Amino acid sequence: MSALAGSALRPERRPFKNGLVLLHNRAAANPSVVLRALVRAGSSREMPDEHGIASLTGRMLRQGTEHIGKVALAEELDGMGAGLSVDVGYALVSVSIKCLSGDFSRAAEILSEVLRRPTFPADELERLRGQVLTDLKEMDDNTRVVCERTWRELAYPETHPYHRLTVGNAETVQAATQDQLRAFHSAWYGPNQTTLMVVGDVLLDDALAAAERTFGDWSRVRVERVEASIPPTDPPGRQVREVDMVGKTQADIAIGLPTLDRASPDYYALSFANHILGRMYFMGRFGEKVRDEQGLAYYAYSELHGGFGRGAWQVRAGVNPRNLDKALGSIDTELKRFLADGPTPEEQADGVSSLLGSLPRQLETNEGAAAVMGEIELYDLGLDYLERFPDIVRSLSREQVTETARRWIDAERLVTSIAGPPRTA
Amino acid sequence: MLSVSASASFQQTTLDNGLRVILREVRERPLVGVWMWYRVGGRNELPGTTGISHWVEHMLFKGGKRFGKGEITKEISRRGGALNAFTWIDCTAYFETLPAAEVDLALAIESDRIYDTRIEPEEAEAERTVVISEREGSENYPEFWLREEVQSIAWREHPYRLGVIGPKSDLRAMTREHLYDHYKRYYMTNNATLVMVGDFSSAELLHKIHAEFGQHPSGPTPPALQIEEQPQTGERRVTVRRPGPTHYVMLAYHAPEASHADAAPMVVLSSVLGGASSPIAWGGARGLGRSSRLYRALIDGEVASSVSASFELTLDPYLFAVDATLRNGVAPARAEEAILAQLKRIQTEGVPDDELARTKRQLHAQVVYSLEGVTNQGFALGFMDLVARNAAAWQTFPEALQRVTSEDVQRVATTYLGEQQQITGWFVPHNGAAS
Repeated sequence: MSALAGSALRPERRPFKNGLVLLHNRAAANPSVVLRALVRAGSSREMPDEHGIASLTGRMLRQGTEHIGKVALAEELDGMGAGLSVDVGYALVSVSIKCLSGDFSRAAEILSEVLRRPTFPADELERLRGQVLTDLKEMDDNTRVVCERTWRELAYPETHPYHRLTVGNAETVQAATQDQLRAFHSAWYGPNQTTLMVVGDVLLDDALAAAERTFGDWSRVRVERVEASIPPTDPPGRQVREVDMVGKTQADIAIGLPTLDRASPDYYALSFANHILGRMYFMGRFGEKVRDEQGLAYYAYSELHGGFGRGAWQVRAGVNPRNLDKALGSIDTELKRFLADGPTPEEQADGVSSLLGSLPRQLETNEGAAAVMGEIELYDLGLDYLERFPDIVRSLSREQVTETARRWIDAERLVTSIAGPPRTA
Repeated sequence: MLSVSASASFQQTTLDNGLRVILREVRERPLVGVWMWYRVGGRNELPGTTGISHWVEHMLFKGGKRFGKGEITKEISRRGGALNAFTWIDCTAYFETLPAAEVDLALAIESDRIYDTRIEPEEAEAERTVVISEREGSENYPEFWLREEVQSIAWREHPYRLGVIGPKSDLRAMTREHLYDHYKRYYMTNNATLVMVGDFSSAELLHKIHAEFGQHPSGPTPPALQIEEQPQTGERRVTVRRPGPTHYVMLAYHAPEASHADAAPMVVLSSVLGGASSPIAWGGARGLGRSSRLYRALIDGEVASSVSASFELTLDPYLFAVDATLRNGVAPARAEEAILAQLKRIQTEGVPDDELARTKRQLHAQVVYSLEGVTNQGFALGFMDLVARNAAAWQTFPEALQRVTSEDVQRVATTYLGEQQQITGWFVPHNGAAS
């Protein structure tokens, strides 16, 4: 594809015989490269009694493999100045290595090794288990996490993967076994579930050769589209839950509801509405009203998670408990005003220019480019997506944005969670 | 005429009114990163008005002569740009990253900000609760309480003990007049540095800068910091008891300033202990440092769930610190002992060559990663110019890291990490957990 004006994105897509897809983008501005494997092995693949297994499996990848032990791996990565990170989400596990471009070839071997041949050593699992149990305790003490967890419990039914956080809970983490992790890995880690991205100062031919050498003989696993693991769900009725947390000063608020998936034809209009409500300028209308005008919060914004299945649309804010009702009232008023009147002509024009003008900035770093490329591949947007994007955004009318927001955001059915100090404190 | 001195990587000049200008042409993308640095922060504050620099920073988004309330963010946002600001113990800095064709807008915003910010009383009042809310957000984390307490006993005199955000009592008591006086005392061309990196011609840009900023008069030089901290003469300890999920331990030591010859060995020491991060800019790779001494001893040793070592580049001597979040059931004395054992090992044995090489490679890589993009490069130039008093340090300091020897690391570990210099903080959850 030709590059979008001003951006450095010229992705190449190469499918391999075993189902692996390589996405490559050359950017020579910084002598580094990001290798990222997106494996469709997130928590939505877990069975009902396996909560946290996907997360533990992902975190165990670097704790020892067939050919390299944990300590040797840590020393080699540090000796290269390379960072290896694993993030486990609902649909995907993202395993990334950021390294200097001269170390690309070895980094590809390491990435392949941790993805394909982890051994899940028993002593390392015990060590990680203790660490995760402490993490979970810290999460229980974190108002933002408790707020998010509570909101998900209210917004999604128990059978839905979005009902809970991906990390699992103390009970399931305590019970997790080596065999469970091995079985999960065998079932879901395979080339036909993986998109490999190489972004940075590496030539396409070198990326292709490295991918062939390190992943070419990886055997397929059973094919199941990740969408199939995210069941349909309807937004619940209006619900509010407050969680008292002793010793805290500020309350965290989440207000919203499950909306649409990334593939929905309404996605762009709803995303544009969210841009105006909670992002543009400085945290959108919510930021302007709750922070700038009323001084009720340091942050108040909204976000739309348009993944697979019904992704969440949420307003988030952190306020003093004395100001809770006022902040909730302001958010409610502003949302209803938007649903009634839609964006102003100025907001509509600014929304278009801000989204299009920000593209070169978003694509400036290898990580930023990798994020866009991953979205293009996962949601089948086509390599010409960035060329089409300006027309998609320009074609949105105020009426369409307003109508779409009304269709997906019912102000009377919002789910609200609050986590913070008891109100009487 | 403007006289310009050039180095390989940037140009710098000073306008007649004292405004320092640092320009670096980077033509890879049609973007420009603009940073305006003011030499004012927590170190310039007094008890009673602590947090004032940070509050003033918030007010500089609230309108001046040419840009009304909210217009700065609107004008940048509608052009696809990004902007923000931060206040630190040594400085306050504002940035915009935007399409190169819109560079005039950034110049106009920073020119308006420097003298013409209004700080309306009602706006100052509305922002009071925003700043308090920012502090309250931090108060939700046990680590914040521990760090604030450790800082408060680390110095007897130096304002570094006061931090940046300020206590609520000061935030409630300060008036609009305090804010305006502070703004007028420190915001002037001769206390600022404009750093720009991106797709421009320096010659053309310099004319624009001159046209935009040249008319501003310089102001009276802000008062220099007179305080000199007396050496610490014995270990200091503090225990914070609050509700919390687990124990936290922080060990801190007085450490040299950025312009000191020992700063580079201190960065290497910190990286050997806790893994490397870029000392000159934000960003870098995640997941490095698992072969570091503290990771091995405390994470692999099942003492902590996270541990880090930090040494930051500052104008005046600041702190070297080790922070650990303890695993469920581990007593803080055990963690403290484990950390001290690692410090002692370096003091007595130094660092083997292969480990030192591994650490330097991490530092080299993290510096490379942290310089991706015009915003990060602008930060590095401005930050190093400020704390090391030399913009060229954005290159020379990373080079100095590569010359550090095992003996250097051992020497600074012995010199600075002695018991006499130690400040120890424990966070003890008073609602249970291990004892």
